[in-house]
Amino acid sequence: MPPTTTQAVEVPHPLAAVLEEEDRIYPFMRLPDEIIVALLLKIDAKTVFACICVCKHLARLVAQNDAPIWKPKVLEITIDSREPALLKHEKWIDIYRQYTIWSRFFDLSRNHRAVTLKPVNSLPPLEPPSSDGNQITTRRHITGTYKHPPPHIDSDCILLDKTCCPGGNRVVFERNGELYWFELGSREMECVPMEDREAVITPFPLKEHQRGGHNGSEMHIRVSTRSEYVAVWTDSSSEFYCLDNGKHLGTLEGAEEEASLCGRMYASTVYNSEARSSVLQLWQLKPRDNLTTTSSSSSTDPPLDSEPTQPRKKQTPCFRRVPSSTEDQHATNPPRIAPRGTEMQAVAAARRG
Amino acid sequence: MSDTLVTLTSQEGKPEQVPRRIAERSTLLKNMLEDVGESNQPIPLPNVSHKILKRVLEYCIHHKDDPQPPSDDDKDSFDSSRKRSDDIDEWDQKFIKGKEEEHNEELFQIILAANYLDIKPLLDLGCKTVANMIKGKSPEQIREMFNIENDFTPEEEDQIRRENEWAADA
Repeated sequence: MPPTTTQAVEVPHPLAAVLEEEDRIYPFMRLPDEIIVALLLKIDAKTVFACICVCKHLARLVAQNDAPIWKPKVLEITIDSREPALLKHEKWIDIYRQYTIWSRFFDLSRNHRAVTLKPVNSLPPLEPPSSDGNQITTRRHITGTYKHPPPHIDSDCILLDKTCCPGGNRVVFERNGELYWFELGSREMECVPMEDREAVITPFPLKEHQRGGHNGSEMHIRVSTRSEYVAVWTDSSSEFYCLDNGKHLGTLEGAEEEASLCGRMYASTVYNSEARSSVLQLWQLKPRDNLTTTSSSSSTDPPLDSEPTQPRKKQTPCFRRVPSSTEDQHATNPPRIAPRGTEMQAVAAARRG
Repeated sequence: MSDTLVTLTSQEGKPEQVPRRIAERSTLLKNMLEDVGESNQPIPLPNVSHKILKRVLEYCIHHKDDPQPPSDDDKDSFDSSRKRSDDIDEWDQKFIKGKEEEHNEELFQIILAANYLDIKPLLDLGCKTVANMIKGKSPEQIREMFNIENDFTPEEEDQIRRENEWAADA
Protein backbone atom coordinates (compact mmCIF):
# COMPACT_ATOMS: atom_id res chain seq x y z
CA MET A 1 0.00 0.00 0.00
CA PRO A 2 1.37 3.41 -0.83
CA PRO A 3 1.92 5.61 2.18
CA THR A 4 -0.68 8.30 2.46
CA THR A 5 0.80 10.32 5.26
CA THR A 6 3.15 13.17 4.54
CA GLN A 7 5.68 11.67 6.91
CA ALA A 8 6.52 8.95 4.48
CA VAL A 9 7.54 11.41 1.83
CA GLU A 10 9.60 13.56 4.11
CA VAL A 11 11.91 10.86 5.39
CA PRO A 12 14.29 9.41 2.78
CA HIS A 13 14.55 5.70 2.98
CA PRO A 14 17.85 4.86 4.67
CA LEU A 15 17.89 1.40 3.14
CA ALA A 16 17.11 2.59 -0.35
CA ALA A 17 20.51 1.75 -1.74
CA VAL A 18 20.56 -1.70 -0.16
CA LEU A 19 17.07 -2.40 -1.34
CA GLU A 20 17.93 -1.28 -4.81
CA GLU A 21 20.82 -3.70 -4.92
CA GLU A 22 18.58 -6.50 -3.66
CA ASP A 23 16.01 -5.60 -6.27
CA ARG A 24 18.63 -5.99 -8.90
CA ILE A 25 19.77 -9.40 -7.71
CA TYR A 26 16.45 -10.88 -6.63
CA PRO A 27 13.96 -8.79 -8.53
CA PHE A 28 11.07 -11.17 -8.25
CA MET A 29 11.25 -12.02 -4.59
CA ARG A 30 11.54 -8.36 -3.64
CA LEU A 31 8.09 -7.69 -4.99
CA PRO A 32 5.50 -7.12 -2.28
CA ASP A 33 3.24 -10.13 -1.69
CA GLU A 34 0.19 -8.38 -3.04
CA ILE A 35 1.90 -7.83 -6.38
CA ILE A 36 2.98 -11.45 -6.62
CA VAL A 37 -0.59 -12.45 -5.83
CA ALA A 38 -1.89 -10.09 -8.51
CA LEU A 39 0.54 -11.83 -10.82
CA LEU A 40 -0.64 -15.28 -9.80
CA LEU A 41 -4.18 -14.22 -10.60
CA LYS A 42 -3.14 -13.51 -14.17
CA ILE A 43 -1.50 -16.80 -15.04
CA ASP A 44 -2.99 -20.04 -16.19
CA ALA A 45 -3.41 -23.04 -13.92
CA LYS A 46 -0.47 -24.89 -15.37
CA THR A 47 1.89 -22.01 -14.61
CA VAL A 48 0.46 -21.65 -11.11
CA PHE A 49 1.23 -25.31 -10.53
CA ALA A 50 4.75 -24.63 -11.76
CA CYS A 51 5.03 -21.63 -9.42
CA ILE A 52 4.10 -23.83 -6.47
CA CYS A 53 7.16 -25.90 -7.31
CA VAL A 54 9.52 -22.92 -7.57
CA CYS A 55 10.06 -22.05 -3.92
CA LYS A 56 8.38 -22.12 -0.54
CA HIS A 57 7.40 -18.48 -0.62
CA LEU A 58 5.47 -18.87 -3.85
CA ALA A 59 3.92 -22.12 -2.66
CA ARG A 60 2.78 -20.36 0.50
CA LEU A 61 1.31 -17.41 -1.39
CA VAL A 62 -0.65 -19.77 -3.62
CA ALA A 63 -1.94 -21.64 -0.57
CA GLN A 64 -2.86 -18.43 1.23
CA ASN A 65 -4.82 -17.16 -1.73
CA ASP A 66 -6.63 -20.34 -2.56
CA ALA A 67 -10.03 -18.91 -3.36
CA PRO A 68 -8.93 -15.85 -5.39
CA ILE A 69 -6.58 -17.94 -7.50
CA TRP A 70 -8.44 -21.20 -7.92
CA LYS A 71 -12.10 -20.41 -7.68
CA PRO A 72 -12.20 -18.53 -11.01
CA LYS A 73 -10.27 -21.38 -12.61
CA VAL A 74 -12.73 -23.92 -11.28
CA LEU A 75 -15.64 -21.86 -12.55
CA GLU A 76 -13.90 -21.61 -15.89
CA ILE A 77 -13.76 -25.34 -16.47
CA THR A 78 -17.26 -26.04 -15.33
CA ILE A 79 -20.33 -24.43 -16.69
CA ASP A 80 -22.42 -25.65 -13.83
CA SER A 81 -24.94 -23.02 -12.93
CA ARG A 82 -24.58 -23.88 -9.29
CA GLU A 83 -21.39 -22.95 -7.56
CA PRO A 84 -19.47 -25.94 -6.31
CA ALA A 85 -19.65 -26.10 -2.54
CA LEU A 86 -16.49 -26.80 -0.62
CA LEU A 87 -16.52 -29.59 1.86
CA LYS A 88 -14.88 -29.05 5.21
CA HIS A 89 -11.09 -28.72 4.87
CA GLU A 90 -11.46 -28.76 1.13
CA LYS A 91 -9.69 -26.13 -0.89
CA TRP A 92 -10.40 -24.75 -4.31
CA ILE A 93 -7.14 -26.12 -5.57
CA ASP A 94 -8.37 -29.60 -4.60
CA ILE A 95 -11.54 -29.03 -6.56
CA TYR A 96 -9.50 -27.84 -9.50
CA ARG A 97 -7.26 -30.89 -9.30
CA GLN A 98 -10.24 -33.19 -9.12
CA TYR A 99 -11.90 -31.51 -12.05
CA THR A 100 -8.72 -31.73 -14.07
CA ILE A 101 -8.43 -35.40 -13.31
CA TRP A 102 -12.09 -35.76 -13.98
CA SER A 103 -11.81 -34.16 -17.35
CA ARG A 104 -9.50 -36.96 -18.37
CA PHE A 105 -12.33 -39.38 -18.10
CA PHE A 106 -15.34 -37.32 -18.82
CA ASP A 107 -16.24 -34.54 -21.12
CA LEU A 108 -16.85 -31.63 -18.79
CA SER A 109 -17.94 -29.36 -21.54
CA ARG A 110 -21.57 -29.75 -20.66
CA ASN A 111 -22.05 -29.89 -16.96
CA HIS A 112 -20.11 -31.92 -14.51
CA ARG A 113 -23.12 -32.54 -12.34
CA ALA A 114 -25.56 -33.07 -15.09
CA VAL A 115 -27.12 -36.13 -16.46
CA THR A 116 -25.36 -36.79 -19.70
CA LEU A 117 -21.66 -37.18 -19.41
CA LYS A 118 -19.66 -38.69 -22.16
CA PRO A 119 -16.78 -41.00 -21.32
CA VAL A 120 -13.65 -39.69 -22.94
CA ASN A 121 -11.70 -42.87 -22.88
CA SER A 122 -13.57 -46.09 -22.73
CA LEU A 123 -13.50 -48.57 -19.95
CA PRO A 124 -11.27 -51.54 -20.51
CA PRO A 125 -13.38 -54.00 -22.40
CA LEU A 126 -14.57 -56.99 -20.53
CA GLU A 127 -13.36 -59.66 -22.85
CA PRO A 128 -13.90 -63.29 -22.12
CA PRO A 129 -10.95 -64.37 -19.99
CA SER A 130 -9.38 -66.27 -22.84
CA SER A 131 -7.78 -62.98 -23.80
CA ASP A 132 -4.81 -61.81 -21.80
CA GLY A 133 -7.09 -60.95 -18.97
CA ASN A 134 -5.27 -57.86 -17.81
CA GLN A 135 -8.31 -55.72 -17.41
CA ILE A 136 -10.23 -58.39 -15.69
CA THR A 137 -7.42 -58.81 -13.24
CA THR A 138 -7.25 -55.11 -12.48
CA ARG A 139 -10.95 -54.87 -12.07
CA ARG A 140 -10.88 -57.77 -9.70
CA HIS A 141 -8.67 -55.62 -7.51
CA ILE A 142 -11.54 -53.36 -6.72
CA THR A 143 -12.11 -54.88 -3.36
CA GLY A 144 -11.11 -53.83 0.07
CA THR A 145 -11.35 -50.51 1.83
CA TYR A 146 -11.62 -47.38 -0.19
CA LYS A 147 -10.18 -44.10 0.87
CA HIS A 148 -11.65 -40.80 -0.03
CA PRO A 149 -10.49 -38.50 -1.29
CA PRO A 150 -7.17 -39.56 -2.74
CA PRO A 151 -4.37 -37.68 -0.98
CA HIS A 152 -2.47 -37.13 -4.17
CA ILE A 153 -3.74 -37.59 -7.63
CA ASP A 154 -0.65 -38.29 -9.62
CA SER A 155 0.70 -40.46 -12.35
CA ASP A 156 0.83 -43.47 -10.05
CA CYS A 157 -2.92 -43.54 -9.92
CA ILE A 158 -4.41 -46.30 -11.99
CA LEU A 159 -7.98 -45.98 -13.07
CA LEU A 160 -9.91 -49.04 -12.06
CA ASP A 161 -13.48 -48.10 -12.43
CA LYS A 162 -15.56 -45.20 -13.45
CA THR A 163 -19.23 -44.77 -13.36
CA CYS A 164 -21.15 -42.09 -15.03
CA CYS A 165 -24.78 -42.16 -14.35
CA PRO A 166 -27.61 -39.77 -13.81
CA GLY A 167 -26.96 -37.62 -10.81
CA GLY A 168 -23.32 -38.29 -10.39
CA ASN A 169 -20.06 -39.85 -11.32
CA ARG A 170 -17.52 -41.86 -9.56
CA VAL A 171 -13.96 -42.89 -10.22
CA VAL A 172 -11.97 -45.55 -8.44
CA PHE A 173 -8.20 -45.45 -8.43
CA GLU A 174 -5.50 -47.67 -7.22
CA ARG A 175 -2.31 -46.03 -6.05
CA ASN A 176 0.59 -47.97 -4.61
CA GLY A 177 -1.69 -50.84 -3.71
CA GLU A 178 -4.31 -48.69 -2.02
CA LEU A 179 -7.74 -47.96 -3.31
CA TYR A 180 -9.20 -44.49 -3.60
CA TRP A 181 -12.32 -43.04 -4.98
CA PHE A 182 -13.89 -39.73 -5.50
CA GLU A 183 -17.21 -38.61 -6.70
CA LEU A 184 -18.71 -35.69 -8.40
CA GLY A 185 -22.40 -35.32 -8.30
CA SER A 186 -25.41 -34.56 -6.29
CA ARG A 187 -24.77 -35.32 -2.70
CA GLU A 188 -27.95 -37.34 -2.39
CA MET A 189 -26.77 -39.88 -4.87
CA GLU A 190 -24.66 -42.82 -3.87
CA CYS A 191 -22.97 -45.03 -6.36
CA VAL A 192 -23.03 -48.73 -5.82
CA PRO A 193 -19.42 -49.86 -5.63
CA MET A 194 -18.39 -52.05 -8.49
CA GLU A 195 -18.02 -55.14 -6.40
CA ASP A 196 -21.48 -54.74 -4.95
CA ARG A 197 -23.23 -54.40 -8.24
CA GLU A 198 -25.70 -57.06 -9.03
CA ALA A 199 -26.84 -58.09 -12.40
CA VAL A 200 -30.46 -59.11 -12.16
CA ILE A 201 -31.35 -60.99 -15.26
CA THR A 202 -34.82 -61.89 -16.31
CA PRO A 203 -35.64 -63.97 -19.31
CA PHE A 204 -38.52 -63.03 -21.55
CA PRO A 205 -41.33 -63.03 -22.06
CA LEU A 206 -42.56 -60.20 -20.13
CA LYS A 207 -45.04 -59.36 -22.77
CA GLU A 208 -44.15 -55.75 -23.20
CA HIS A 209 -40.53 -56.66 -23.79
CA GLN A 210 -41.08 -59.03 -26.60
CA ARG A 211 -39.51 -57.78 -29.75
CA GLY A 212 -41.29 -59.10 -32.75
CA GLY A 213 -41.72 -62.50 -31.18
CA HIS A 214 -38.03 -62.94 -30.41
CA ASN A 215 -36.90 -64.54 -27.24
CA GLY A 216 -34.45 -62.77 -25.06
CA SER A 217 -33.37 -61.58 -21.68
CA GLU A 218 -33.23 -58.39 -19.80
CA MET A 219 -30.56 -57.46 -17.32
CA HIS A 220 -30.66 -54.71 -14.74
CA ILE A 221 -27.64 -53.46 -12.86
CA ARG A 222 -28.20 -50.93 -10.15
CA VAL A 223 -25.31 -48.47 -10.24
CA SER A 224 -26.53 -45.83 -7.86
CA THR A 225 -29.39 -45.08 -5.57
CA ARG A 226 -31.25 -43.56 -8.45
CA SER A 227 -30.14 -45.23 -11.59
CA GLU A 228 -29.62 -48.58 -13.20
CA TYR A 229 -28.21 -49.85 -16.40
CA VAL A 230 -30.37 -52.06 -18.50
CA ALA A 231 -29.40 -54.44 -21.23
CA VAL A 232 -31.93 -56.22 -23.35
CA TRP A 233 -31.01 -59.03 -25.70
CA THR A 234 -33.01 -61.01 -28.10
CA ASP A 235 -31.66 -63.61 -30.46
CA SER A 236 -31.47 -60.95 -33.14
CA SER A 237 -30.68 -57.68 -31.42
CA SER A 238 -29.53 -55.98 -28.29
CA GLU A 239 -30.27 -52.69 -26.62
CA PHE A 240 -28.64 -50.87 -23.77
CA TYR A 241 -29.97 -47.93 -21.90
CA CYS A 242 -30.11 -46.32 -18.53
CA LEU A 243 -32.96 -45.78 -16.16
CA ASP A 244 -32.83 -42.71 -13.96
CA ASN A 245 -35.42 -42.93 -11.22
CA GLY A 246 -37.27 -45.29 -13.49
CA LYS A 247 -37.12 -42.89 -16.42
CA HIS A 248 -35.75 -44.18 -19.68
CA LEU A 249 -32.59 -42.39 -20.74
CA GLY A 250 -31.79 -44.12 -23.95
CA THR A 251 -29.13 -41.73 -25.10
CA LEU A 252 -26.88 -41.92 -22.09
CA GLU A 253 -23.69 -43.00 -23.75
CA GLY A 254 -21.89 -43.93 -20.58
CA ALA A 255 -24.76 -46.08 -19.48
CA GLU A 256 -24.96 -47.72 -22.84
CA GLU A 257 -21.31 -48.52 -22.74
CA GLU A 258 -21.36 -49.83 -19.23
CA ALA A 259 -24.46 -51.85 -19.85
CA SER A 260 -23.01 -53.24 -23.00
CA LEU A 261 -19.89 -54.28 -21.15
CA CYS A 262 -21.93 -56.04 -18.55
CA GLY A 263 -23.96 -57.39 -21.38
CA ARG A 264 -20.93 -58.88 -23.00
CA MET A 265 -19.93 -60.38 -19.73
CA TYR A 266 -23.33 -61.88 -19.36
CA ALA A 267 -23.47 -62.99 -22.93
CA SER A 268 -20.22 -64.80 -22.57
CA THR A 269 -21.54 -66.63 -19.57
CA VAL A 270 -24.67 -67.67 -21.37
CA TYR A 271 -23.56 -68.44 -24.86
CA ASN A 272 -20.19 -69.98 -24.36
CA SER A 273 -19.80 -72.62 -21.75
CA GLU A 274 -16.04 -72.45 -21.70
CA ALA A 275 -16.02 -68.70 -21.33
CA ARG A 276 -18.77 -68.94 -18.81
CA SER A 277 -16.88 -71.17 -16.43
CA SER A 278 -13.76 -69.03 -16.80
CA VAL A 279 -15.69 -65.86 -16.14
CA LEU A 280 -17.38 -67.42 -13.20
CA GLN A 281 -14.03 -68.44 -11.90
CA LEU A 282 -12.19 -65.21 -12.63
CA TRP A 283 -14.90 -62.95 -11.38
CA GLN A 284 -15.99 -65.37 -8.72
CA LEU A 285 -19.50 -65.05 -9.89
CA LYS A 286 -21.94 -67.32 -8.22
CA PRO A 287 -25.35 -68.22 -9.45
CA ARG A 288 -27.89 -67.10 -6.94
CA ASP A 289 -29.47 -70.32 -5.90
CA ASN A 290 -32.33 -68.82 -4.02
CA LEU A 291 -33.61 -67.25 -7.19
CA THR A 292 -34.49 -70.46 -8.87
CA THR A 293 -37.06 -71.29 -11.42
CA THR A 294 -39.67 -68.67 -11.95
CA SER A 295 -42.84 -69.18 -13.86
CA SER A 296 -41.47 -67.34 -16.85
CA SER A 297 -37.98 -68.73 -16.99
CA SER A 298 -38.82 -72.37 -17.51
CA SER A 299 -40.76 -71.74 -20.66
CA THR A 300 -38.53 -69.10 -22.23
CA ASP A 301 -34.83 -69.63 -21.86
CA PRO A 302 -32.37 -67.45 -23.66
CA PRO A 303 -31.70 -68.81 -27.12
CA LEU A 304 -28.88 -71.23 -26.97
CA ASP A 305 -29.15 -72.90 -30.32
CA SER A 306 -25.75 -71.72 -31.42
CA GLU A 307 -24.10 -73.52 -28.54
CA PRO A 308 -25.34 -77.03 -28.43
CA THR A 309 -22.85 -77.98 -25.74
CA GLN A 310 -24.15 -75.28 -23.46
CA PRO A 311 -26.16 -76.72 -20.64
CA ARG A 312 -29.58 -75.19 -20.67
CA LYS A 313 -30.18 -72.87 -17.84
CA LYS A 314 -33.13 -73.85 -15.83
CA GLN A 315 -32.82 -71.07 -13.34
CA THR A 316 -32.80 -67.37 -13.68
CA PRO A 317 -29.15 -66.52 -14.12
CA CYS A 318 -28.69 -63.91 -11.46
CA PHE A 319 -25.11 -63.35 -10.61
CA ARG A 320 -23.34 -61.45 -8.01
CA ARG A 321 -19.68 -60.77 -7.98
CA VAL A 322 -18.10 -61.97 -4.81
CA PRO A 323 -14.82 -60.22 -4.12
CA SER A 324 -12.10 -62.71 -3.46
CA SER A 325 -10.75 -61.04 -0.36
CA THR A 326 -14.11 -61.00 1.31
CA GLU A 327 -15.31 -64.34 0.14
CA ASP A 328 -15.49 -65.81 3.60
CA GLN A 329 -17.82 -63.12 4.80
CA HIS A 330 -20.06 -63.59 1.87
CA ALA A 331 -20.16 -67.30 2.29
CA THR A 332 -21.80 -66.91 5.66
CA ASN A 333 -24.26 -64.31 4.49
CA PRO A 334 -27.08 -65.30 2.21
CA PRO A 335 -26.92 -63.48 -1.10
CA ARG A 336 -29.06 -60.43 -1.28
CA ILE A 337 -32.33 -60.73 -3.06
CA ALA A 338 -33.12 -57.92 -5.37
CA PRO A 339 -36.75 -56.84 -5.41
CA ARG A 340 -37.13 -58.34 -8.80
CA GLY A 341 -40.82 -58.56 -9.31
CA THR A 342 -41.71 -55.07 -8.27
CA GLU A 343 -38.67 -53.63 -9.94
CA MET A 344 -39.41 -55.26 -13.22
CA GLN A 345 -42.99 -54.13 -13.11
CA ALA A 346 -41.95 -50.61 -12.34
CA VAL A 347 -39.45 -50.72 -15.13
CA ALA A 348 -41.97 -52.14 -17.51
CA ALA A 349 -44.47 -49.50 -16.51
CA ALA A 350 -41.89 -46.77 -16.91
CA ARG A 351 -40.94 -47.99 -20.33
CA ARG A 352 -44.53 -48.21 -21.44
CA GLY A 353 -45.13 -44.68 -20.21
CA MET B 1 -5.58 24.41 -12.35
CA SER B 2 -4.71 21.30 -14.29
CA ASP B 3 -1.95 23.27 -16.02
CA THR B 4 -0.12 23.94 -12.75
CA LEU B 5 3.33 22.44 -12.67
CA VAL B 6 4.24 20.05 -9.90
CA THR B 7 7.82 19.34 -8.87
CA LEU B 8 8.73 15.76 -8.05
CA THR B 9 12.06 14.95 -6.47
CA SER B 10 13.55 11.56 -7.20
CA GLN B 11 15.61 9.37 -4.92
CA GLU B 12 18.74 11.17 -6.06
CA GLY B 13 17.19 14.54 -5.17
CA LYS B 14 16.83 15.52 -8.81
CA PRO B 15 13.71 17.59 -9.44
CA GLU B 16 11.33 16.80 -12.28
CA GLN B 17 8.59 19.20 -13.27
CA VAL B 18 5.32 17.85 -14.66
CA PRO B 19 1.87 19.26 -15.21
CA ARG B 20 -0.37 18.45 -12.29
CA ARG B 21 -2.73 16.58 -14.63
CA ILE B 22 0.10 14.16 -15.46
CA ALA B 23 1.16 13.73 -11.84
CA GLU B 24 -2.43 12.93 -10.93
CA ARG B 25 -2.29 9.69 -12.90
CA SER B 26 -0.71 8.54 -9.66
CA THR B 27 -3.37 8.06 -7.01
CA LEU B 28 -0.77 8.69 -4.33
CA LEU B 29 0.21 12.06 -5.78
CA LYS B 30 -3.39 12.94 -6.55
CA ASN B 31 -4.41 12.40 -2.94
CA MET B 32 -1.38 14.28 -1.70
CA LEU B 33 -1.98 17.24 -3.99
CA GLU B 34 -5.59 17.34 -2.89
CA ASP B 35 -4.56 17.26 0.75
CA VAL B 36 -1.89 19.89 0.37
CA GLY B 37 -3.87 22.18 -1.90
CA GLU B 38 -2.12 24.85 -3.95
CA SER B 39 1.55 24.64 -3.06
CA ASN B 40 4.83 24.95 -4.89
CA GLN B 41 6.62 22.63 -2.51
CA PRO B 42 8.49 19.87 -4.35
CA ILE B 43 7.28 16.38 -3.55
CA PRO B 44 10.09 13.97 -2.64
CA LEU B 45 9.82 10.44 -3.94
CA PRO B 46 12.58 8.62 -2.06
CA ASN B 47 11.58 5.20 -3.37
CA VAL B 48 11.87 6.06 -7.03
CA SER B 49 15.12 6.60 -8.90
CA HIS B 50 15.28 9.42 -11.41
CA LYS B 51 15.62 7.05 -14.30
CA ILE B 52 12.52 5.11 -13.30
CA LEU B 53 10.63 8.31 -12.51
CA LYS B 54 11.29 9.51 -16.06
CA ARG B 55 10.02 6.19 -17.42
CA VAL B 56 6.90 6.32 -15.25
CA LEU B 57 6.20 9.89 -16.33
CA GLU B 58 6.66 8.84 -19.94
CA TYR B 59 3.86 6.35 -19.36
CA CYS B 60 1.69 8.93 -17.61
CA ILE B 61 2.12 11.42 -20.43
CA HIS B 62 1.14 8.89 -23.05
CA HIS B 63 -1.93 7.90 -21.06
CA LYS B 64 -2.86 11.38 -19.88
CA ASP B 65 -6.24 11.26 -21.60
CA ASP B 66 -7.26 7.78 -20.44
CA PRO B 67 -10.22 7.60 -18.12
CA GLN B 68 -9.14 7.27 -14.50
CA PRO B 69 -9.33 3.71 -13.30
CA PRO B 70 -12.34 2.99 -11.13
CA SER B 71 -12.01 3.60 -7.42
CA ASP B 72 -11.44 0.79 -4.96
CA ASP B 73 -15.17 0.25 -4.65
CA ASP B 74 -15.28 -1.04 -8.20
CA LYS B 75 -12.06 -2.92 -7.79
CA ASP B 76 -13.62 -6.32 -8.36
CA SER B 77 -15.14 -5.51 -11.70
CA PHE B 78 -11.96 -3.79 -12.78
CA ASP B 79 -9.90 -6.77 -11.73
CA SER B 80 -12.00 -9.19 -13.68
CA SER B 81 -11.84 -7.06 -16.78
CA ARG B 82 -8.05 -7.13 -16.76
CA LYS B 83 -7.52 -10.75 -15.84
CA ARG B 84 -6.32 -11.64 -19.28
CA SER B 85 -2.70 -10.93 -19.89
CA ASP B 86 -2.62 -11.23 -23.67
CA ASP B 87 -4.35 -7.98 -24.53
CA ILE B 88 -1.57 -5.48 -24.04
CA ASP B 89 -1.75 -2.28 -26.06
CA GLU B 90 1.01 -1.93 -28.67
CA TRP B 91 2.52 1.25 -27.24
CA ASP B 92 2.46 -0.24 -23.74
CA GLN B 93 4.18 -3.35 -24.97
CA LYS B 94 6.96 -1.34 -26.54
CA PHE B 95 7.19 0.90 -23.51
CA ILE B 96 7.47 -1.88 -20.96
CA LYS B 97 9.95 -3.77 -23.07
CA GLY B 98 12.41 -0.90 -22.66
CA LYS B 99 16.04 -1.60 -23.41
CA GLU B 100 16.63 -5.29 -23.90
CA GLU B 101 19.73 -5.63 -21.70
CA GLU B 102 18.15 -4.18 -18.58
CA HIS B 103 14.66 -5.37 -19.24
CA ASN B 104 14.21 -7.44 -16.09
CA GLU B 105 15.72 -4.99 -13.69
CA GLU B 106 13.85 -2.03 -15.06
CA LEU B 107 10.59 -3.92 -15.36
CA PHE B 108 10.58 -4.80 -11.68
CA GLN B 109 11.53 -1.28 -10.69
CA ILE B 110 8.70 0.10 -12.76
CA ILE B 111 6.33 -2.36 -11.08
CA LEU B 112 7.57 -1.29 -7.66
CA ALA B 113 7.28 2.40 -8.56
CA ALA B 114 3.80 1.90 -9.98
CA ASN B 115 2.84 0.13 -6.79
CA TYR B 116 4.31 2.87 -4.63
CA LEU B 117 2.82 5.70 -6.64
CA ASP B 118 -0.42 3.75 -6.99
CA ILE B 119 -0.77 3.88 -10.76
CA LYS B 120 -3.04 0.91 -11.30
CA PRO B 121 -2.90 0.58 -15.10
CA LEU B 122 0.89 0.69 -15.06
CA LEU B 123 1.09 -1.83 -12.24
CA ASP B 124 -1.29 -3.97 -14.20
CA LEU B 125 0.82 -3.65 -17.33
CA GLY B 126 3.90 -4.70 -15.38
CA CYS B 127 2.14 -7.69 -13.85
CA LYS B 128 0.79 -8.76 -17.21
CA THR B 129 4.27 -8.57 -18.66
CA VAL B 130 5.76 -10.70 -15.91
CA ALA B 131 2.83 -13.10 -16.22
CA ASN B 132 3.53 -13.46 -19.92
CA MET B 133 7.18 -14.09 -19.19
CA ILE B 134 6.52 -17.02 -16.87
CA LYS B 135 3.55 -18.45 -18.70
CA GLY B 136 4.14 -22.07 -19.63
CA LYS B 137 7.60 -22.10 -18.06
CA SER B 138 8.89 -24.90 -15.89
CA PRO B 139 9.80 -24.32 -12.24
CA GLU B 140 13.50 -24.36 -13.20
CA GLN B 141 13.01 -21.81 -15.94
CA ILE B 142 11.12 -19.52 -13.59
CA ARG B 143 13.85 -19.82 -10.96
CA GLU B 144 16.51 -19.06 -13.49
CA MET B 145 14.65 -16.16 -15.04
CA PHE B 146 14.20 -14.32 -11.75
CA ASN B 147 17.13 -15.69 -9.80
CA ILE B 148 14.90 -17.43 -7.27
CA GLU B 149 16.51 -19.78 -4.84
CA ASN B 150 15.07 -23.27 -4.58
CA ASP B 151 14.56 -23.67 -0.83
CA PHE B 152 12.85 -27.06 -0.94
CA THR B 153 14.64 -30.11 0.33
CA PRO B 154 14.94 -32.82 -2.33
CA GLU B 155 12.18 -34.80 -0.56
CA GLU B 156 9.90 -31.80 -0.35
CA GLU B 157 10.51 -30.97 -3.97
CA ASP B 158 9.83 -34.53 -5.04
CA GLN B 159 6.53 -34.54 -3.19
CA ILE B 160 5.39 -31.12 -4.32
CA ARG B 161 6.19 -32.01 -7.91
CA ARG B 162 4.26 -35.22 -7.78
CA GLU B 163 1.29 -33.33 -6.43
CA ASN B 164 1.38 -30.58 -8.96
CA GLU B 165 2.87 -31.75 -12.19
CA TRP B 166 0.40 -34.43 -13.05
CA ALA B 167 -2.55 -32.16 -12.57
CA ALA B 168 -0.82 -29.49 -14.56
CA ASP B 169 -0.33 -31.42 -17.76
CA ALA B 170 -3.88 -32.57 -18.03
